[in-house]
Amino acid sequence: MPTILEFDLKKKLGTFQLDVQASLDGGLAGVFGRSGSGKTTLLNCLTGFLKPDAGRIVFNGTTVFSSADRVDISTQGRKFGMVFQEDLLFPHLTVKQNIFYGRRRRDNKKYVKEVIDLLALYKLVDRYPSRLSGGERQRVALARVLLYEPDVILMDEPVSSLDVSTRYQVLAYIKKTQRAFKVPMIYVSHSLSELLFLADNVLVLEDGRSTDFGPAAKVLLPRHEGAESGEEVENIYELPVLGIKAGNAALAFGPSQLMIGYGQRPIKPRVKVGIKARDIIVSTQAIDYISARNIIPARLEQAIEHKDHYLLSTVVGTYTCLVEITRAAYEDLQLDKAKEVYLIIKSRSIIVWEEVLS
Amino acid sequence: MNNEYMFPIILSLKCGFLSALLNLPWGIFWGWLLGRKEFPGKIFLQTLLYIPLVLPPVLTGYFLLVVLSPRSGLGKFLLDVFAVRFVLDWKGAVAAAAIVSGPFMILMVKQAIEQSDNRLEFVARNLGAGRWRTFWTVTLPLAWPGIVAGFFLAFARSIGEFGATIMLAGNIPEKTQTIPLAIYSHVYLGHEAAILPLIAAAVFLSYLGLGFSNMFMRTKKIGNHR
Repeated sequence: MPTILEFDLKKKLGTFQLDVQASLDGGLAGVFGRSGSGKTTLLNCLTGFLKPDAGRIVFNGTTVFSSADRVDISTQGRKFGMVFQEDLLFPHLTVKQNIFYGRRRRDNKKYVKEVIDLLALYKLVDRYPSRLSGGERQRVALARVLLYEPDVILMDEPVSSLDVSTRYQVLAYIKKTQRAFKVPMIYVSHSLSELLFLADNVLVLEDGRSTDFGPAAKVLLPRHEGAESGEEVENIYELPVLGIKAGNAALAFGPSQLMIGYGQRPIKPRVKVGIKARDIIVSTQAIDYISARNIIPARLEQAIEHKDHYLLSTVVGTYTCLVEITRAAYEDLQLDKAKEVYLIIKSRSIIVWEEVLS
Repeated sequence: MNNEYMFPIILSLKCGFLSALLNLPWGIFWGWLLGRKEFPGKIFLQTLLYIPLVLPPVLTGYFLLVVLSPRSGLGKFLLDVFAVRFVLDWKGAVAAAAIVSGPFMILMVKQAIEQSDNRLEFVARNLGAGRWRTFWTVTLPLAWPGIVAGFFLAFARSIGEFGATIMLAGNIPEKTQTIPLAIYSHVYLGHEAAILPLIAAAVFLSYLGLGFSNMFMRTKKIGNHR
């Protein structure tokens, strides 16, 4: 993919110093950083809310900021749309007035309809933001920025103020939107799971500096701090439903099947599921007498060593499945020599997300 | 009711509304500037704008008299060019009320602007809105309850205005005599029994103005929807 956004920025704020360089391509690029790493400062410099001390920003070959050439195109002129951590909807305007706020074009009604359909806002258009749920608000914020038709959309932890189930619903909408409209997006987050789910390539920010850039799994997995730190890696998939019987569903998971508790949910062709990396058991042999419903052969691709645990990257068909195990387990099973493993997953450990990716 | 009562009541109402109306753009501008911007000398400007709150109204009236008298440059200019006269005229009562009640309006708008979320203005700019559009469609509507509260507070203060009015407009029955001035004259001349309707009107209008002001102040700030 061609380079969309290139920047080299320096900005000092108190004792904090931002000094980042990167070239991001189209699609959905991620920026990973823990709190205090300079994520928000970077976004504020890109959108023009903050003026960098030095450096330049080039978008699609056009310089929008350059300290050397004294170029500084205003926030309005840049057309870098923002989605914030809090939705920041205009509270005195209805959903409809909110989403049309930045829209100048009167043509292309088809696009407007597509955005409203895709984000399922049709029933909400006459409401005020105070009467929306957190997830609905973030969808409205996303529609608002999409109808503005910016050249690139920057997202600053847009789901971190939402509860877990809503979080993945909104993430699914973001992904769906990016696929449908092909607008370049930069998604900034401190969450490995979110970035693994969404981003193609990820830029890593540490203490105000860009320290790594590359495919999401490659740069993120070594930075996993383990479940003890409260940071949970979750595998998220959308899988075709093969059949539903007595409250259980069989899903196609590569060449294997995944049995899940499905309850009384409406039957859908595909469902989205989440499995936490630490809820998966690894075995080097197939086990017959076990209560867990899913024993799935997988290929062990990579084992990333951490202080007290290993993060295994395994492959099932075309899916990557991450597994977190203790150092002792890794050593006992001699996984450094293993190629073929079995993933043992209880049906109960698989969470069904209501929202279906279409 | 005869003119003796009706004139002061109507003039007071006129002064109240006109001065509050004049204070609307004045209060919004200064309230916005003080509530949103940081600049050197801000505290001095703010104190200067608020000074009529604590200055003896008679002194405020005296300053106005000096500035607006036909013998001064400005007063002569206003009289010659616009044929507007303030001294010993009902317009002087409006000007005096407007100056004395101005700080209330500024104070209320400033507070409302400070309490509304300025990040929403960033959002508007980010969605391509210019400064003016952002101001009209975001800043102003969010501060609206505070602005209306300020309007009624300024109205209530104008109803009670005495000192500056008597200095600038004088106390001419059926020409510049507002409710407080009429009450003063009646008591001075020993007609205490005659002031009851005026007292009732003054209390009623002040209560009404302050009541509306409180009502809008209590309106949940629109910005805080969570």
